Amino acid sequence: MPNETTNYQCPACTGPLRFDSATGKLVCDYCGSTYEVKEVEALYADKQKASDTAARQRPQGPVWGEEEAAGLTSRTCSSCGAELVCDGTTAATTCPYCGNPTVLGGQLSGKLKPEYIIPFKLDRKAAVQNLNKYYKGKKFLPKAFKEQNHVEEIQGVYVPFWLYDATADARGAYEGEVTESHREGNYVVTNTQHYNVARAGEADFIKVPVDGSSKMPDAHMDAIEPFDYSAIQPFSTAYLPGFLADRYDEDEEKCLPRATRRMENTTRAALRETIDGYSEVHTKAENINIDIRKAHYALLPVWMLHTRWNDKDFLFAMNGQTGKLIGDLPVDPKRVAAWFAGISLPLMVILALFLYG
Amino acid sequence: MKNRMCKTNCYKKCCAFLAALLMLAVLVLPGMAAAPLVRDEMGLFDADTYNELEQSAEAASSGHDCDVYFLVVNDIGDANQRDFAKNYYVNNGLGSGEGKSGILFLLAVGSRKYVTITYGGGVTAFTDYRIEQMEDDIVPKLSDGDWAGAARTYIEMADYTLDYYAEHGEPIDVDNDLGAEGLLFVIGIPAAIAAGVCLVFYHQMKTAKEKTEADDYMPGLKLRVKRDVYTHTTQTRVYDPPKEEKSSGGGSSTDSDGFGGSSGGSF
Repeated sequence: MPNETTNYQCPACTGPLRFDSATGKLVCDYCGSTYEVKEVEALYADKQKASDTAARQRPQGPVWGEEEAAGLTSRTCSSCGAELVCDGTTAATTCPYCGNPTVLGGQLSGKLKPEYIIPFKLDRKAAVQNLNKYYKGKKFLPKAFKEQNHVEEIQGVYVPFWLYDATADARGAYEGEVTESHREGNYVVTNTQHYNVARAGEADFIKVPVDGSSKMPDAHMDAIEPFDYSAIQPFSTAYLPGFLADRYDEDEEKCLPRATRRMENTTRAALRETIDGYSEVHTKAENINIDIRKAHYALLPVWMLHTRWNDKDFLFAMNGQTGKLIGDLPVDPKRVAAWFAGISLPLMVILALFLYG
Repeated sequence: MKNRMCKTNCYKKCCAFLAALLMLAVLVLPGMAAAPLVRDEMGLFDADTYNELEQSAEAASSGHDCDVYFLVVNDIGDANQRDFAKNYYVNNGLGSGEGKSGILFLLAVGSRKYVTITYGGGVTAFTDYRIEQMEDDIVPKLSDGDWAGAARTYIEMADYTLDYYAEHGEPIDVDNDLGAEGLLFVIGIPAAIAAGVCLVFYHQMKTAKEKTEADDYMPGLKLRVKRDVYTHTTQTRVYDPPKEEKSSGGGSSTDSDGFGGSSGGSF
């Protein structure tokens, strides 16, 4: 596996290029030049090859022990020469020494190369603004949290996702009841008509996403859905500069049960929605088969925001395309008690006065 | 000799006194035995059940100067159940003390009718509101044929009502009976509303949740089988008599002859 880090450099001034999510182009902050992604890719192909060759020929430095090296990857920044040590699943990162956006071409090539990518549309500033907006209106949020905590780390991450295309075949047998009640003297008489109900159908699922990174909390990745697939692009490393990119460490087989479970639930609900006109419906039998047609490997854009307060970590995730932000906030028990008492006690007094006053 | 005669006289006096006591007991006890509180005129209850109910009724009445009667007859013909119960109460000299205070529940098994009447102090202790509560609990048991269960419920509720009156100096009525339903209404509902609102606020704090569906990725379900076949009809009948409108003023209403209670009904 190559361990050479490759920069996209400005063809005009050799300054680092970064992907601008607003324009969808590569931008040089030094001379102001802008380039189409495909244009730079073509220019850069030869340079990438040369960089890989140089890396293979470089003499070995101090080596990691076998145990230490097991989960680590060493990379070299071609701009300042710093050696970057990352965990084995990180594919692109920003050099912590010179700040250059760097790309490790080899990490995402061959077997691991993603099929698709959705470029970032929102920038770091939007992520911070959304987080501050997210705090507003949260009744149980400790007052000190907003004042004392600050964003310690914010990273734009291309998260590896598996996107499953599938066809669901569903069959169900149910008992439907139509109930009518009327009074006969002192008795309430209820007549219930019983029906045998049968339904069968099929549904196509298009690109159901499941994140393939064990480092990313599943709940966070699920909650920022959906992504707008109309902006999906064939994968290119040109979208990576300026962002961290993970490679998957959970393959399509491992992630499949989560996708299947979700598709089964949606199919089941859709099948039941076709049964109407009954006061009650009882399920006798249901059979739902999910046929996976294809699993696409894609990188989707996520801003990860990390804050710390009262020695506890709080992680927020924002969809880098739609801006949807989620994350668990601390709950102030005193505020919960105050709200509970503030609502219930006046109501109790009013009801007591109304009934017994 | 004189002492011996004296001893003989004393012995005779003692015998005469014991004989007088015995005669008094023979005269008085049958009278007491003839005034049971549970009056099973049709032999509905077996001996054990009857004894148990009678003891409960005596315990309920004890110390309150108000007798708790449970009357069982078979058929009252065309008679109005309330008139029947009042006549029975008067003709049998029922009631405790000079005021003839008491409460009587009439169960006419063959006629499937019931009524509750009160008299004297019973009118004060048992308000219309309380009698309605009691009948609401008793009548479903009558509908199920649970005669003993109905009698137990009646005696237990009468017992509680008399104790409440003795302790508080006022009867259970619409304006002072919190009861389980009242407590639920006054405390439970506001607490449930507050808990619901707090739950909504809490969910706003915890937004990272795994998805269990994939609705966003399914354009629609193409149905190829849709079949609804009628099979049969079932019928259930539940006893639930229409509720009479409650008088909001509370208290006890009485007839011109001084009897209170309910107008009764069928079960």
